[in-house]
Amino acid sequence: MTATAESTATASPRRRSVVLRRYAGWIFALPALLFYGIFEFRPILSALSYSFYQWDGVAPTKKWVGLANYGAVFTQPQQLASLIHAFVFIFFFTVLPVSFGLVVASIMRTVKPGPYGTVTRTLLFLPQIIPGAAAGVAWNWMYSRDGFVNTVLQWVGLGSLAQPWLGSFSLALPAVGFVGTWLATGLCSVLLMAGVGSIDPGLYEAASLDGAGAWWRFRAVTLPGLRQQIGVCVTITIIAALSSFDVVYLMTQGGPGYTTLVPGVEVYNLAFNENQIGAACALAVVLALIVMLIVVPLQLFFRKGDS
Amino acid sequence: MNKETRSVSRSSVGGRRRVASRMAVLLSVATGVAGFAATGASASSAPVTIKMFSGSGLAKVNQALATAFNKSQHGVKVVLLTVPDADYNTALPRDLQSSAGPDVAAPAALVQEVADHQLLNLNSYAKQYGWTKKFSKQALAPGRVNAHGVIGTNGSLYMAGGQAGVVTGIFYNRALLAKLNLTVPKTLAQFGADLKAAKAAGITPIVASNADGLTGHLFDMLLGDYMGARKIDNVINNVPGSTVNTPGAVAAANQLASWMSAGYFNSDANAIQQTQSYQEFGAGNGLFFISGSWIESGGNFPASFQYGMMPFPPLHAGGPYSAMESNALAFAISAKSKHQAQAAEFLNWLGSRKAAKVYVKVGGGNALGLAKITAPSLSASLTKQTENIYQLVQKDNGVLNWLQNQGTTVNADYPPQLQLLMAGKTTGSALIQKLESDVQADRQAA
Repeated sequence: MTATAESTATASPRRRSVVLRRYAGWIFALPALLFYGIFEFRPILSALSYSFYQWDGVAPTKKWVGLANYGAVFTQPQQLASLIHAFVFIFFFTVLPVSFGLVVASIMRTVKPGPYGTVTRTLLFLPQIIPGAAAGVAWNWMYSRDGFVNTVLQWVGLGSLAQPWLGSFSLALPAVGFVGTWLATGLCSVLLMAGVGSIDPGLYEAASLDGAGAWWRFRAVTLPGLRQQIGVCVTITIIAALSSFDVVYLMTQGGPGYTTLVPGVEVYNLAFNENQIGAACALAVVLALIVMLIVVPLQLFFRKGDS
Repeated sequence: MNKETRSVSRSSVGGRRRVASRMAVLLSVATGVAGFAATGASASSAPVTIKMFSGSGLAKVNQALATAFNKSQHGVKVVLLTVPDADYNTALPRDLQSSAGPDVAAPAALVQEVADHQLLNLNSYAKQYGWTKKFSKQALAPGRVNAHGVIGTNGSLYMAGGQAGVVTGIFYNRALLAKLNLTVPKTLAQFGADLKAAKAAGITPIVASNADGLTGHLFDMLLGDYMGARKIDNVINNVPGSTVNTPGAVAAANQLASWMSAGYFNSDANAIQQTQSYQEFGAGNGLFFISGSWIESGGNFPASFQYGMMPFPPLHAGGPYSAMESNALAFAISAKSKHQAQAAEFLNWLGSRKAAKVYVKVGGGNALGLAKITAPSLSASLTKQTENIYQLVQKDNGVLNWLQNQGTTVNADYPPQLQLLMAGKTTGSALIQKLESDVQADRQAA
């Protein structure tokens, strides 16, 4: 063996070690990346590709239509209405649950640890573990003519307000949206309660000594202290609002008329009931872009606060 | 490599060759035996299994047909592939893409599936089994599709079998009808008067679910009265020049709208689904229920609930009865089926009187020619009434298809459009315009 061969032999394991160290992360991530590529990235690319075609999902040939399917998203009344309804849902899925969650977290901060707090937390979180489909069926019954909601209204002397809620063109959307509020409030409350627990109690004490009342303690201490948790809640619930499907499909299927039609249900209808795969994919792509356009700035905003 | 290794290696190779040659001999013997069994002793070989695609709602009926066929035939066994009814139309076109999919199925969208080359052209089997002689041109027409995607008498045959099925009409609560002293309406105007009388007596005239758009049954029968069954069928069958935008169709939609605005339906119709409407009608909370004879099986109503069925009245006295009838004994064969000949044999059996009797016996519906026609009667049993309506509509050439079956766009828009009509947010004329644009969109897509 020559000197050169000897030096190569000693350098090779070192180089191998460096290479391994450099790519160790990729090697560990490879299986997950493979799965992501096959089951996530490839379907996304396929959907993007289909969105430029008119295709029924079965025929061997597809007809190229360019951006026509995208044009339909913004000109076809039902598809446009579904996007508007999704934005209305942000109020029910995000604004209300985060607001309720903040109120609950502020109240629970003053409650001493014990069974009362545990039971409250459990009850609040309970809707979160119920599948959306099951919640949809249950709330369908509760909103029916002889259901729980109308019965309660009659008990409290408001029988004149009792009605088949999901059949009302003006009230069906808020009625379905409220189910989203009910589902998301638990998650937001538990996340925000955990966040409140991590705020230094000394800050509240100092604020009190400075003469801050409950509102100012909430504004100056609780809100900034919960910035991260609020960011998580807002992100999760906005995605849930914009991509809602199960609750709406089980409760109204988009009706009455088109008053509760949301993009998730419309994508399903277009793809599987009307066999318009291209149109469905175009709407899905637009929805994904809208979600990103909303969520990415929000993430940057909440991260900016951290730095 | 040393010599010893080489010799071991050679002997190993030689051994493998010997084993391989012995295996080949065994295989050829086995193949020969199998070939002999297939040609000379077919009765003892395993039967060919053909898969029949079925919605869960028809599983009981289809299973009875399969069982009866399996008992009477040799060498072919029919098994069911069952999917929930709500998934049928979505699942079938995708399952037909697979060679492991169903062999026999009732098409979900005949024209579309023919255009997508998913169904077998049955012309040669029609000749082989003599279906064109056995059945009338009119009977085979719903299964024929021509090169332009038009269903009718001049296309190739893609769906065949027997003639039996369910029929739509007016179900009534026997006690409430007797209380109001009403008879079988002979005209649409008389039926309107009955609705008014029920409303005046504080009884909900019609129980319906419209969250799923099932007031469509009533609308379709009104279309049959005002437009005529054949004209509606022409629209559904994509006959060139046919249109739903006719004065008759607008009159039908206006008639329905007027009944809706008069409060002749349960107040929560737009909020409830079919199952809830069954509960309402079965609880005695309404006089009429417009649906089809499929509701008679499946325990939809309490056993004690007494109800009957009457035909939907014609527009004018003495006019033809029209109603929707399905054909539950007509099926298509998958173009990818590996057992097309056996599947055709099954279709031929479905056209037999024996199959029709099995279908009727199991409560699937009614079969052509198995009952005598009588005048509609309130005192007859529900079964007799249904059988009679089925035959009456056939006799009057009043069988029509559901307009929703024209295409997927019409089908998708039916429930929301009827909900808008119920809420007074669209007019009969606007509804028809919308449906016409859907029909045209479906024709273009096909």
